[in-house]
Amino acid sequence: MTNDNWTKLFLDLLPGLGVSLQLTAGLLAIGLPLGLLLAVGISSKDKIVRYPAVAVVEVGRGVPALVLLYLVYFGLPQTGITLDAMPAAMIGLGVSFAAYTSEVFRAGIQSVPQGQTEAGKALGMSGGVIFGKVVMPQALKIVVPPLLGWAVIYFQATSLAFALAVPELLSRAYVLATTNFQYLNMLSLAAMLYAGVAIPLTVLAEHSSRRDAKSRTA
Amino acid sequence: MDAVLPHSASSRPQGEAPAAYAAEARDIVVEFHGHKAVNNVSLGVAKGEVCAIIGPSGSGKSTLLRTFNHLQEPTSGQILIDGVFSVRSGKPTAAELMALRRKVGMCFQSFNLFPHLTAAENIMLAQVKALGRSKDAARDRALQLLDRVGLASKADVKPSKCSGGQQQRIAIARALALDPEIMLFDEPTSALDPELGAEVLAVMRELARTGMTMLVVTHEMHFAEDVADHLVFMADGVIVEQGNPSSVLRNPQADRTRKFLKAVTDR
Amino acid sequence: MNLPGAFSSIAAGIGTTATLTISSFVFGAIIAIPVALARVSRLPLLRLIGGTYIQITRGVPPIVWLFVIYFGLSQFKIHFSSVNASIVGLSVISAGYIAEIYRAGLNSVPSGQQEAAQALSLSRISSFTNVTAPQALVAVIPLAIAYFIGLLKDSAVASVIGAQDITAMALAASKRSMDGLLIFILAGAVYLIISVPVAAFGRWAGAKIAARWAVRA
Repeated sequence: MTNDNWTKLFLDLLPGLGVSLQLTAGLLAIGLPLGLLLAVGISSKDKIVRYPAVAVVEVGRGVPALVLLYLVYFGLPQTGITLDAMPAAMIGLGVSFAAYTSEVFRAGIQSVPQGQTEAGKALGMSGGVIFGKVVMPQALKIVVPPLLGWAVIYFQATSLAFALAVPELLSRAYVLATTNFQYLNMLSLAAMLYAGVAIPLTVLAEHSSRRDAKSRTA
Repeated sequence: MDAVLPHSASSRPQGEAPAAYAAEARDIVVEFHGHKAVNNVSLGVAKGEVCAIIGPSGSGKSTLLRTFNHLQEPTSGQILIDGVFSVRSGKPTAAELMALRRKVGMCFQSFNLFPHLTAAENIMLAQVKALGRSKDAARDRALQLLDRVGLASKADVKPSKCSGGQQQRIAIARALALDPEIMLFDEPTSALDPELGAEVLAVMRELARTGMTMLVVTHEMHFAEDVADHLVFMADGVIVEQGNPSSVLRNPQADRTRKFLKAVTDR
Repeated sequence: MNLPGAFSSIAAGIGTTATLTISSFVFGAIIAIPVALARVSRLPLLRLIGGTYIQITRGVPPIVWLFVIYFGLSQFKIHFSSVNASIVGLSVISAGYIAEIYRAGLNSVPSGQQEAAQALSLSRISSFTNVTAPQALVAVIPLAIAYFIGLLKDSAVASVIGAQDITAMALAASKRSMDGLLIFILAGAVYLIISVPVAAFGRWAGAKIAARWAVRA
């Protein structure tokens, strides 16, 4: 196969990569706030808040993401909520992402010393101001590298949206392969695109979490 | 063998038997990232002698000690055991290292007992795997050594169930099980409170009495004075002063030694 | 669709899910041994190879691996059944993850243990098998069990290339009955229920081994 041919296949796949990135953006838009909310929920002293939060986290982590996608896409219509494949995938993956990252947020919030909250109280700040202006900025530094790691994993997980016929990268590669019969080339190229996005970001996340750990012990 | 000796026996005074050291370091240099932790140090220990090395942290004393069994590979310089080079030249082979370490036993500051094995198993392992002794013979020897360090009752107990002092005594027994000619001790009591340290020092005293050649990096000035035959003070990677322990400790010649001893005794 | 009916149609896939998960875990744990040894080797080239294997297996999504093996290799007239293709793909992936677990286990053993073994003139092999490996196992077991549960869930992607596992059975039943809500809740519950005893076993085994070897004093 010639270079021109590879270039053409690559360009053919790009729209699929675009959809995968859109899916990633959408699931992060749902999953990040939800993850933070769940973290606050599972740390709550109030059982009425804590138990549902724990349930969502346990289900989100214990059930395969693919089953969550099917549940949203094929199950929710029975409750009167019918979603297109794309938002359904974003919601399913977003909930799964939130379940996993709630633990990251919780650890980040807990890592901020109690003395910081007490200092805020002593200065007459309200609970909301303390959380937003004192605790969160410090916790953010700790949660960003692991969140980046999870975001990469869920970028990869957008390939599950194939099962809902979302025209993302894998679907695009597969559909093109059924017409040009270059299955191995198309699918390997798709694999390389996933790896090409995922590996550098994973290395970056691991590197920054190491550097972060160092700067904290120093 | 003589052909590879840089200072052959013939350079010694005629007629005298070559006074080979039991263990000797020649011109040892250890470099870490361009920093010379040990800077051209030579040191010999005669057979049956107890040599104590003292000095501030970062003086290179532990690094020097660890070159004696090549746990620390020297950047340059040689280690001789009984007047024979432990490593012929260049990078030591696995066989050379194993032969050297059978002759040179070692105890660590942090004991480094194997936590998944009982006291007896700790002492048996190298006997079986390195010396090829039978398990029964190894166990007999282990029990005998545990008895010698006063811990016969701990034979079938895991290290985590023993005090620090007991763990170090088991570690001494473990090293003795290979019948070494020389024993290295790397701050054997530094991780112990004084009472537990005393029981370890008692075992070491007994070992010295039996004529074991010992090289001991220590902070225990009393032990150094009472038990050691020779005292070495190191600072900044070099030997600053050495000699009879009492005279070095009571009448130090170098400023650096005086400063160190003052800091130790003022505590 | 009633509950027993839904359950029995999903339950028909449990065997395939178990086969996929257990086989991939066992093969992965075996392939991971040379990968981990390469990763911690003193030779830079071997370290690079081990590290690259781990990065690539983790950098490509599981479902894409299965597509490459199931559809891609058919271009070379290499035909796998969907279950076999899934086992091959998931084994390749799990080897990368389990290799990192082995490495974490090896790193958890203090360097003093290695030094003591050397000072006692143990050979490299003996020092590994008698000193390092048994202690590393204590750290490996809980991580491996957690990964096993992750693999159980990852195995659901095999349904996309046609393996008749829990998820595939649930999808088929939901299309037949038009009762996706109940069926997929039930399917999720089945995965959760399977993972509960596995997690409990992991905690029990981890505690048992830690107690037996009393590694952490």
